[in-house]
Amino acid sequence: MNKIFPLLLIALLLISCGESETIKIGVVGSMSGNQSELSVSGRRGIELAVSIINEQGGLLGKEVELVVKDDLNDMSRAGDIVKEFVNEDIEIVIGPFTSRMMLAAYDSVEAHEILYISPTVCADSLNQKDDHFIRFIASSREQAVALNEVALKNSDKEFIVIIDETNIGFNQQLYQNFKDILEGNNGQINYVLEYSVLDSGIFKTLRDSIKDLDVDGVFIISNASDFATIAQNLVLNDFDASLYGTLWSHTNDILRLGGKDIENAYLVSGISQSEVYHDFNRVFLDYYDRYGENLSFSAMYSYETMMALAEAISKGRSSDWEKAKSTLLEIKNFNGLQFQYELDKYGDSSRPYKIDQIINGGFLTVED
Amino acid sequence: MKTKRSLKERLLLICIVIIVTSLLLCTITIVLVRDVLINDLVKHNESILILTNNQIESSVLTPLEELELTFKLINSDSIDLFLEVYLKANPIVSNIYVANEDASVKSIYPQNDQAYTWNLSYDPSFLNAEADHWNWSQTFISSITNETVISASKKINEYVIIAELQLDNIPIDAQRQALFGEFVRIEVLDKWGTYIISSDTNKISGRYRMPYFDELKKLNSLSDQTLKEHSIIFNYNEKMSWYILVNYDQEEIDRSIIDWFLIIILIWSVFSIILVYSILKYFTQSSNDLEIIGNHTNYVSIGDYNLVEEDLYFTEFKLLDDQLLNMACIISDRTEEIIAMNENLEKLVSERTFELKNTNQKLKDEIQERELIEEKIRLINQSLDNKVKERTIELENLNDELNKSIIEAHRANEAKSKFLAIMSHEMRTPLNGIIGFTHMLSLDIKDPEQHKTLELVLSSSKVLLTLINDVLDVSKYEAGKMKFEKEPFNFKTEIEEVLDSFRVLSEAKGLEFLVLGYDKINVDVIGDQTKVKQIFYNLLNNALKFTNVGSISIECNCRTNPNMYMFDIVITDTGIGMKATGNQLFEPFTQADDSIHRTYGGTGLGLTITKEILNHMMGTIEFINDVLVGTKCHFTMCLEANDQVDTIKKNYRRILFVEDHIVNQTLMIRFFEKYNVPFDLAENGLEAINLFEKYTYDLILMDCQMPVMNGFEATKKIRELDSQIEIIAMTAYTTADDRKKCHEVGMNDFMTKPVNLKTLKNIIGINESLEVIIEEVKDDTIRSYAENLKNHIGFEIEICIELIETFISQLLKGLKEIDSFKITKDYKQIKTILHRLKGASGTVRLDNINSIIIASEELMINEHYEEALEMINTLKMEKLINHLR
Repeated sequence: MNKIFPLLLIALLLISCGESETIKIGVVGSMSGNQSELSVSGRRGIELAVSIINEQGGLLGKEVELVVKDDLNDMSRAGDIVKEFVNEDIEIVIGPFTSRMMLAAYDSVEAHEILYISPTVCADSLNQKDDHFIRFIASSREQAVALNEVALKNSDKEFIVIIDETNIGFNQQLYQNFKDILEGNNGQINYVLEYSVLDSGIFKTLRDSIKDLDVDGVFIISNASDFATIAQNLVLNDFDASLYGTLWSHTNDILRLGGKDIENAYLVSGISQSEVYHDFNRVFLDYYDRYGENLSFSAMYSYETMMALAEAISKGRSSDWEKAKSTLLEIKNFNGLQFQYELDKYGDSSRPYKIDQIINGGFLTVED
Repeated sequence: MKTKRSLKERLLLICIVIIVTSLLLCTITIVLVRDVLINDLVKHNESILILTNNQIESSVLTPLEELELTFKLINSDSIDLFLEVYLKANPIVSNIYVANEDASVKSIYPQNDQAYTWNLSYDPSFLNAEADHWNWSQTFISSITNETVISASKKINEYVIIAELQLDNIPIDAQRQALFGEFVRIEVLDKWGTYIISSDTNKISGRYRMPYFDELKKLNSLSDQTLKEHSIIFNYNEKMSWYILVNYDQEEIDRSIIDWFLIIILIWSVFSIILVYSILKYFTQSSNDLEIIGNHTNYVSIGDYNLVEEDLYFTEFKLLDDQLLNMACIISDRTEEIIAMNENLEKLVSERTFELKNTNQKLKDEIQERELIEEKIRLINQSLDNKVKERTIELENLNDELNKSIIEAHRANEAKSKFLAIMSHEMRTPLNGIIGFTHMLSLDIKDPEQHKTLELVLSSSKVLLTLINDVLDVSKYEAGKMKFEKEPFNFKTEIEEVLDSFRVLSEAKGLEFLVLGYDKINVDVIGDQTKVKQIFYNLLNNALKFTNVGSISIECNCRTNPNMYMFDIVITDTGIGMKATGNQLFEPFTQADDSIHRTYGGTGLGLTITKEILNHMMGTIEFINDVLVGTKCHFTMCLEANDQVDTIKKNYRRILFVEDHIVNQTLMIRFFEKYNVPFDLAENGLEAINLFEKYTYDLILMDCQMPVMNGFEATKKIRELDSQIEIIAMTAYTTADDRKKCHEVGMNDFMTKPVNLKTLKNIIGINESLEVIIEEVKDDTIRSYAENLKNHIGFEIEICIELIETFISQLLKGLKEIDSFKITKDYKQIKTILHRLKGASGTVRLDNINSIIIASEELMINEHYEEALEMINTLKMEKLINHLR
């Protein structure tokens, strides 16, 4: 009996080890539908990072396995997905990729033993909270600041603002910040149009509303597809003003969708196009080889987020969510593909935004 | 040694081997079957793949070709109608864009108002469109359907046609064409690996990339289109740059194989059970049969041959049992025969036993008789034993008495010998004195009559001494204590001494004395010289005694053997001859006849001793008699050769003479005085030591037996003080033990008493030259001084000459000493010497010398050393001294 008991223990240990031969990391985002571009490229960035990590031997001697869940951009599903992850013993999740879905999931995340890390959620309302959420992007207010700097440079003072009201938490806050700074720079917003679904009715309203307005710029807070459509409608109506867009719109398909009609538009960017970065170029090429598309900011930030998480797990010798969080905050400074960035004690990044202008079907960084 | 196993163990072992082997074979078979099935499946799936590839190709390309052809043929007005019909007929085409060259949308089907605002200038489908082939885009979300689509674009006429395809709508029949159940899954990837057809819609909507696409791409380049690890076979379609995959689920195969496996295991189990059951059953039957056979064997072994035939299961065992029964019958018959034989034998044995019993009884009776006789014999023996014991005791008593008598006889004999020896010894000492003094007296007495008388005394004394010596020798011979010394000597020298004395005696008797072959015996030998001389003395004495006229001749011969000399001597006389012959001559106290003793004297011991000595020296003696002519005595002797001759011959200046006996003292003092030898006398050992400590001596003559302290002890003490001083023993003891003892205590040599003066002269160094000088001086200067001295003291002139000569020698010695002390300026010693010489010079009445010495002494006393020494030097100029020097 004395000999059998330790043997049984060893056998149990082996079985339990066998059960967790991989470290499971959750990925959540809007993986399908017309809002899926940000999430899909983000997921692809994470996939690339994981393939590199696994090639190098994994984490803590185990392979990293991604468990991807599609929230269908449905806010009602956000809380359920958190529970699904918890039920599957997944403690760390990268995502979601929009503020809207994060805010929807927030309470549920806080209620569970789980850590959400987002590469792209920048809602101001999530700032400075010691919570189960870490973001690797600066708050939306910084986007407003960057855009206003360009506007000031271009002497664009009179603005129309078109807002996709569905991305609550991000767009309203951003709008408010933009407005405050603009007005601080002696500018003003002449007209605000909010929409939830772009249809012919919306465009008619738009045409009628702006027909007699003399404005310098149009600030569109929407996804890439809507940005292109709105821009094309404005062009169609010979509306001549500078176009300003958020980082949300800065996806690969904005060029496909917008075409010549979005030429010269200003978009908030997370990637500097003006300098050569060795690490960035390597990952850029790897990404292109795998997916046949350019490395978007979402993909890049997601890649960096996964790498930072891997560093924290390795350093903390644990894939436990609390340990991962504390280690992330402890490491604090991370080497990004282009430059170093920092997390504050609440797990919020303040990495600077850039402003790209669309020139000849490509992006050119004008504000670095 | 081979291990023995039971049959049951062996059978079970074989069962286990068969069962395990069959299980292994089943397993191997199943594995092989599985591989075959998988290969079959792969082949089947390959055919499905080909079919599917063709189906997809035709499903996609056929509508596009139709579209292109229609676009080229039909004018633009009727195109709308065609496309509406076309879209309905081809569900995979969801939208068709017709774009102008400026990238604006000319038309879109199905109709969509918004689309007309779009600008396709940066759309890859528009940008990459070619006129010669359809360009395939990546998957993307359609702005119209919001579904994942892939577009095919081509330049046709002045337009760019873009068709968005939703490939999910392709009905793939192959999915149902499975080998085992529905486990074939078909998927299609675009050239980036993104799913474009899959039963899993998430893969399409989420635009997932196939996880093993990198491996697949590598395999494609190697033309091996099977991803075995992931159960995938695939085909690359070059026309569309797509990958068509067939996934087969190996677990499905395994599930179906498990069914087979279970059936096989079931059959195997049944087979195994039957096998084991059969073997065990047959084993039990065999055991039963063997038990019956075993029982039969047991019966046979205990002699029960009435076996009952039983029914056995196996014929082989039955046969064996029958044979056993048959054997039992045979054994039964044989046993009966043996019993009959046994009975006969027993009968015979009982008869023989009876006979034996009778015989035994007879033997017993005989034995009893014998025992009675033996008892009688034993009693007789016992009485005999007692008698023997009694006689033995008597004999032992007699023996004891006899032994006592023998011991007493020995004691009496020893007492006799001892008496003789002691008496002889005690008589010798006074006789020595008599002879010595007589000899000394004869030197001084000039009157012929007195001299003759003294000669007679001397002669009688010598005869007496000879007699005593002879008696002593005979007693020693009888006691077996005759000892022979081993000392080196020159044969000729020693014999010459004897011969010379007999020459004188013979010539005195008027006889001719001839010695032949002197030179032949001039050899150094080791032996007892006294005994040798005794032989010559005895034989010559006889010759001289019995010869009155004629001659005595001695012929000497010597032969040399290795380390040995053999002397051959013949003494011939012209005497009366001898009647007695042979051994009679050598009997003690026997002479030729009694008249001889009366006429010639003698003890009759001489020849006896001579023969004994010669015997000891490996010699012989014989007499050749002729009563009328005389006697010829021929004798031989052997002596050891001495190669190392070392005779002590030194000149001694001062001698310490140690002797307690007044006679010997006087004799020696006379001798020393006669030859002017300086000496001191000590009466015992202690005195000798005291003197030795005070003065310097060159030689000590030491008596051995003395009161107060004997010579041996004194020598030991002296040797402690000086190891160089020469000490010579003088003793009446003449045994080898004494000589040995003398050497042990440190004495240099040994001299027997009475002392041979000639030998002593040799030892001390009184030689011929000194006697010559004395003779010269007698006639010269010394004689005048001696005359002067004689006038003063009245001594004989010779004595006076000796005295003066002694003084002169002392003076010369003193002068030499003074010369040596002069160097060391020891004036005290010089004064002492001068003082001594002063007295001596006065005594011998050498007045000139005396006055010089006195003057010198006075100068020395007054510390005028230089003058004194000069004065002493003048002594050397004296005529007398120079003459002697």
